[in-house]
Amino acid sequence: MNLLEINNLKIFRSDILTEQNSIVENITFSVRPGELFGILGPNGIGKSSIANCICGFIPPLRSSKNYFTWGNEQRRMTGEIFKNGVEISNSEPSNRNIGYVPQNLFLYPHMTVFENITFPLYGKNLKQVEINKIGEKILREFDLSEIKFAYPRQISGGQKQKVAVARAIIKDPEILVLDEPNANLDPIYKSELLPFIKKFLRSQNSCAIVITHDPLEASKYFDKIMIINDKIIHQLDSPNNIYNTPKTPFVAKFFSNIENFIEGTYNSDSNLIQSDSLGTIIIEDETNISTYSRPDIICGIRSESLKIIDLNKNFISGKIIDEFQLSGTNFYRIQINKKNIMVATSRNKRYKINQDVSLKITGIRDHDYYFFSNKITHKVSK
Amino acid sequence: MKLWVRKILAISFAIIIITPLIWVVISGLRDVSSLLNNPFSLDSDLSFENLKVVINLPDFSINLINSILLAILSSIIVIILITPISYTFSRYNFPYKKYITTISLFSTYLLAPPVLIFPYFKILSQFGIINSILGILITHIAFSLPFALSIGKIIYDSVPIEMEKIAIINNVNTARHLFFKIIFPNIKLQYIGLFILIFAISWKEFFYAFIISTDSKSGTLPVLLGTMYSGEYNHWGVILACSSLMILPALFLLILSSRIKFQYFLSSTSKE
Repeated sequence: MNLLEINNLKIFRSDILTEQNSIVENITFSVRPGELFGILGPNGIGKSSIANCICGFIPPLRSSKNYFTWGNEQRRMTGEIFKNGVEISNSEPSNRNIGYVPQNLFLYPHMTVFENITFPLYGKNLKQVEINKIGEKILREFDLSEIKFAYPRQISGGQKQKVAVARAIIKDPEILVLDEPNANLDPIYKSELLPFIKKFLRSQNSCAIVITHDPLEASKYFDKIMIINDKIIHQLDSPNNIYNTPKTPFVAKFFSNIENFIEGTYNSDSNLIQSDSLGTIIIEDETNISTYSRPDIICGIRSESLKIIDLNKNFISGKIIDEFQLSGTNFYRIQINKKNIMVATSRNKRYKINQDVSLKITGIRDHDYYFFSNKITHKVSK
Repeated sequence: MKLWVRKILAISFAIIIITPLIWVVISGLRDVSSLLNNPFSLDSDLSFENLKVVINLPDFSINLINSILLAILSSIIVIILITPISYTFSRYNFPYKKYITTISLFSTYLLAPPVLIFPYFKILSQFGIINSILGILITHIAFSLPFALSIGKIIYDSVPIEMEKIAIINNVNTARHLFFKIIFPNIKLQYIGLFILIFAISWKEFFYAFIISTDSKSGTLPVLLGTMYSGEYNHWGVILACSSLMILPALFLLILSSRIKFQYFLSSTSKE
């Protein structure tokens, strides 16, 4: 049974339903209890809008025009949102039982840490004694007892984040929505939050939707990831699967750490890629390329799958223009016909800048190079 | 700019502001003949004779009470009125919102007071509240409302909407709870600033009060001061003493407001 199910969600900038006006289209996904679900994409792509839809701040488009909407909200959504199989698209935010951590946290500056954390309990008609009891328990869990009476301006960024998360989970919500919780935070704090939330989700049998633009963070902790770009879902899968088999060039670049993309036409008879910029590339591995009906393809190659060799007429050659080192590997940027190609080599082999070299594709393993059809179809399957 | 240049500029600016105030207060305490002979000399005896004359004027006490009542009442009423209106303007979307704000601002401040006073006078006289403090109060409220409304919208814009979203999602969604628990504690200082502004506008307002109060009993301090100019001979000592009495509350509010961090006043932190 899915805890949260979103079906064909579309968000528009206003109540005019045109293609230019849409922010995201055809968003469909489901989250099971205990799952940490990540929504990834570049900045300003509509990730926060999806979070706002789940929380209920973006009203659904109605047949009668609703002029008077709270929150200066002009955006409208269509589609269905189900929680435990019940449609909640039209219900009020307060009836959805969602814990929400907005971007930049927004703690109440006039309340102490304790008042901030216990604030959601006031909506539940509890007695002050019970509120104190639950509040103390959460404070101990988050290790915040020392700053119980401090104001938000007096505490550090990491503590602020803890307070905001504690405030979101104190009422045991079924769904937790975290909008870039790790933004503006030192890397040293970043590693603490998501493991903690994962533990909490397992114990409560609830789910969390985390919005982030950090692929590294996502690949470490998330159970499932949805990558969005250009209004649509590019890929929805587990981090490992997305890393190994990206479905679009964007995902390959954004998540799978593939630097080199070569555009060309594929000749199925001789198993060659004819590229304008790089010449002929021989495909040694025959997997899955024939499934693309179009002859125009983009070939993505990991920098580790390329090898620098001495100048050789039979291979494509170019000039080294840049180099840098990272964790035991030398990276070289090589210019071939005004196109930059990134190559990784082991540290013991060094080349000079401005040296003319040739390149060889060594990868015949799986997941070394990838083929994408040149034109991304507008509808991407799950 | 170097620090000493800035210091000199600040001090000279302060002198330019403060000197006339000190001059008014000192001249109000001086004998009228020495004041007229040499307005800027400092070597004359100071006495409270002029102040006594002002305070013993038959209408002074009632006009003072009128002024204080008007300033406080109009500030409070305007603030109560703008609270729901400016919240609506800040948080809700409705058709022609932009034009309504602009029209309400320009309809009051683009037209000169003599143009507006005719309809005001006609309406107030039909209700029979000419020559009463209530009539002046209504004009003062009407005068400062659009201005306060636009300031009020800025004040509410400075409260991030996410704060309210968190409250709403946690079931704290009655207007009373939302306003007094979340919004008001964050805009207290801005409201004090707004109160001082409207108080100052109403305290020094002369034209409407002068036209509407035909009887000296219903006038305000600026009206009293204005009537002192009538005739060939002006008693400058008394006029200046009365002026310095009028400056005192304004000065007090100025000192009070300097303790408020006014950077909050026009700041906006919301992400749009």
